[in-house]
Amino acid sequence: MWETVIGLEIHVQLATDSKLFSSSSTNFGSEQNTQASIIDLAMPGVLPVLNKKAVNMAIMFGLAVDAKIADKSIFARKNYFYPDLPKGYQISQYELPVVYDGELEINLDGKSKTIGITRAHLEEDAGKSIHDLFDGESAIDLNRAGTPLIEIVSEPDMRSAREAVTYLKKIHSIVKSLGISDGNMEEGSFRCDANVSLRKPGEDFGIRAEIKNINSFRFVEHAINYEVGRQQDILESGGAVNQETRLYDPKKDETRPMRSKEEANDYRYFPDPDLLPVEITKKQISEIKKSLPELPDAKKERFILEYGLKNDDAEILSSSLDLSEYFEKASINVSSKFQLLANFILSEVVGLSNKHSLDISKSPVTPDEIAKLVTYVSDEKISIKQAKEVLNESWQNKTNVDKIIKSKNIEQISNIDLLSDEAKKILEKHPKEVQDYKNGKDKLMGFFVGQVMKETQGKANPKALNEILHKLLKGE
Amino acid sequence: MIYKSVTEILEAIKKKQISATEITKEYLKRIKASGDLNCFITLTEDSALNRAKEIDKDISKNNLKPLSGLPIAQKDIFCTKGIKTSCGSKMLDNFISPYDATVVDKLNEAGTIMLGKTNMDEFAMGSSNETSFYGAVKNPWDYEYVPGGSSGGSASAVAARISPCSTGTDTGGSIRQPASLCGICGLKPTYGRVSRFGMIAFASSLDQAGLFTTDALDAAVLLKEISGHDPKDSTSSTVEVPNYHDYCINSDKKNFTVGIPEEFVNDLNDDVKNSFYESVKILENIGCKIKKINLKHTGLGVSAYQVVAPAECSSNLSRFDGVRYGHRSKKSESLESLYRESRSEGFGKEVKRRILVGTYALSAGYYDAYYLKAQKVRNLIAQDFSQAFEKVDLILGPTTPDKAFKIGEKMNDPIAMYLSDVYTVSTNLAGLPAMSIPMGFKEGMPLGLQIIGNHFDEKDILKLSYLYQKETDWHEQVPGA
Amino acid sequence: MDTIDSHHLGKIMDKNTIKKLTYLSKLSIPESDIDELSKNLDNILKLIGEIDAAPTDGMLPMAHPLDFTQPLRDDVCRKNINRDANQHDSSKTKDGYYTVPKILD
Repeated sequence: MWETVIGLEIHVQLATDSKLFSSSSTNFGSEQNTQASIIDLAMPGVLPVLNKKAVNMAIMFGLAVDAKIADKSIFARKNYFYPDLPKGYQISQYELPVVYDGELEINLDGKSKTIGITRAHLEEDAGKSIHDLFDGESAIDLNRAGTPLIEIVSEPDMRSAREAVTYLKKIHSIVKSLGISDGNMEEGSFRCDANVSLRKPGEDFGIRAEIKNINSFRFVEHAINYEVGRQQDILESGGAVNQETRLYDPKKDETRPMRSKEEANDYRYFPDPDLLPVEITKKQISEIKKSLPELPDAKKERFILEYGLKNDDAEILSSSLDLSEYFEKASINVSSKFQLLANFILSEVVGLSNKHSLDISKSPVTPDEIAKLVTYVSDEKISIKQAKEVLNESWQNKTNVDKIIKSKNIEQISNIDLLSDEAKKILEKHPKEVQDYKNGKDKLMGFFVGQVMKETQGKANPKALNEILHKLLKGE
Repeated sequence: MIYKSVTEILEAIKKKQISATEITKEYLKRIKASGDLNCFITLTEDSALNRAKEIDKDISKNNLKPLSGLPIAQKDIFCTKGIKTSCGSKMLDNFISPYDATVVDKLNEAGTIMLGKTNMDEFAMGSSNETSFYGAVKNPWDYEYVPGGSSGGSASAVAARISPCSTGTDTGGSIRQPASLCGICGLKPTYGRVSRFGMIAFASSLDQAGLFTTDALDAAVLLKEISGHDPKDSTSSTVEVPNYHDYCINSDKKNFTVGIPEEFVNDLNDDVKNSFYESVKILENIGCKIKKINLKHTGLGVSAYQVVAPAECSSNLSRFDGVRYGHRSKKSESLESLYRESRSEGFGKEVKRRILVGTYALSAGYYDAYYLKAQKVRNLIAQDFSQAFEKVDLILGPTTPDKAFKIGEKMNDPIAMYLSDVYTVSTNLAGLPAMSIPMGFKEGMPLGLQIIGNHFDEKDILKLSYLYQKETDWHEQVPGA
Repeated sequence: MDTIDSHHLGKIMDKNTIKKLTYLSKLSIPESDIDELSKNLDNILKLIGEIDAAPTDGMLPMAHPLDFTQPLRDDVCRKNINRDANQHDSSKTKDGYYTVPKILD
């Protein structure tokens, strides 16, 4: 009876070498304040100069989500005090953002839906405050201050936590495919705020709560689901939801109001007088358009056409740049069994990488090795079960696939003469069972297979063996 | 050895009639003898003498730069590496800049020798130099009078001949008004002509660095060295920098069409009016054509300015929060008190007033009525000027409504103080270049003539000033002489 | 909201307004200075209120005096940071961090 309404604000750090308005490095993890230049520190008298690559990256994103690109874009100051914000204002965009009016189609449970993208604007990141380093004091590291971000603001078009996560993942895969962000959520390169409200279907939007800085796909789903439950309880007991900013606590799996952040702030946006209007020409846009890499949707279509993959598998593979790259590298060495390769990667390799929380791009088993395993399976050299075992061992010991197969002597026996000899021996040994089988006790086929497997230490190709046994039993 | 002008000093050094060290010592001596003026916040005697030595070495190797050996005073708004840069404020009383402003860089590059950092109104907010944390500067023509502001120390120093030239900044008149009140030349170039990098921002869309000299040729020589595009300042212009000095000397242009806006002369008192019209006569004699014009909306200049400048300043001054540099209050037990106490102790009354007004003008519900409206009025004023420049080459008027006022006279009346910029603020709003040159005296105190040019037409302003100064000797009058 | 006529009628800069403004701008004004400040601010508002009557219909707001567009910088990283010089005031730092009284989220 309640409809959930969700809008997301996604902050994406852009993969530039230097900061948005200064030439200091954007590297992650340097010693504190060694990447904060006089400009990032807001020394008296310093001025910002805009990074061209950041603008181009924002345009790339805009083109990828069918958005409009402003021919004239303006930077504004958002004024508030915080120690991680050295100037006392953030240079952001307010009126005339670089990107506006875009949209993105998402697919969930076989249904597709379009999510509106209100705008995507450039802004600078803040530094970091560390509260547990010194007694009674907070420590400020401004290395991150000034790192370029695009903030992608969606329309309140999502109706469930799963839709929100699907949209978020798709944006993630787009920015990674475009190469404009490393998308690293742990290091904060890709962060999400969720605006959540409830309403009765058909009524106006309810009052929303903003959940800040949720840093994993899983937490987004949890945080939204928690928040939906919380608001529902309030509304159903006749209360009203507060318009407020809340933090998600993954340990307790709950959201709570932020304690001190700005009592009713007024950001006093105005055009930054240190920066002039940015002009974006048609020529610049068309050049960027030409250089755009393949995007997930186009890739999915190509995977279906080129590799004959099932729709759902193509969708999953293309939704992640790491995954699709892994698949395509392996596919080079797989002659035709692409669906088998896709199945193997999606179930086995992805399974292992999830289990070990390791990006598939960092998998110890290379795509070439996977290609070998899949080829052996399709050539019936090894069984699929054996392939899984080899993969597991290869993942753990980082030994190559051929070595493992050799050392374990697990190559399948597919030679028909050899298998026939073994099968004959077994049938001769068990005349009673042969007679029973012929009298209709079909189940005994399993017994014969089992006996041959026992003799061959499980290396018999089960499919070939079955055929041979059928033939022998019928023929005699 | 009284060297009157920059060009004469440069000539003497070039001809090795005097060394950089000798001239530097001479000016340091004069500065010390004139301590009562309170022109300097920091005197950089040691580094000046060291640098003079180096320059003398260069000169002995015939390695001569355009301004080799020229002593100069820098307004304490320009960041100077390793040297205290206070901006006239308690907030930055302990601030040592880790870098040089582009203007400082360029002047060093050209061979000048910095004598010290000059006193100024706190964060350049003031028209009398009385808001300085370091005390009021005095007018060398009469110590009871203000030198004007905000660049009061720079103006007073050049007027008193304790520095041959100095830098200043002009947001609403902060170069021209003190030049007028001190009887010297003060040039505010076109917005974007000179880099703002390293110049502590007051109102970013109005601030412009400029110069004080005793005559127009000196300003021409110096302007060339500080002008030009700076990749560190997005708002600095790429328009080519001409050789202003050669243009003054060599071009035979003299029949300028000069416009006199009714709005600038209607309310003048008799003394200022007389001085002004005598100057107009001189220009007519030179060959100028005088035309009456109107700048209908400049009457709104001060009001629009007092919205735009505080709005920008309220944001520009947020960085002074006591966290990374500058004054930090001892009463900082929470983050909120660190901010509030540091800023309240570090800023003076006028700065706080402007921050509050600016915050108000930008705040939700008032933005449209104040900030946006003021920016529209700004456009009206700019259009008045651009229409006028379709008919005239230059615009002429008095720089200030009156001679200097007494120290303390307007300190408790911000409105009266703001109105002393009535003829200067409009050119900042429109980004135009303008210069004040001496045009006479009233009761022993100097009066200034303001020449306003079209964007990037500093050369004609300088040329007309040069021609005027060939016919007059107001600029050669020295206080106490 | 678009007119400031009403502001001319009475005191605008009352204690509450000043309180809000000092909160936003992180200033604190001693109680004893508030009356004088509020009088001065009201006078300033009267002065700037004169723009209200200006005929600005159809005028665009002018944020910059010159009609330039923003020059863009190439994405080149320069490593010229001298943390010691930037942190010359060592009373504000510890181990290369700036320090402030503990912030509660």
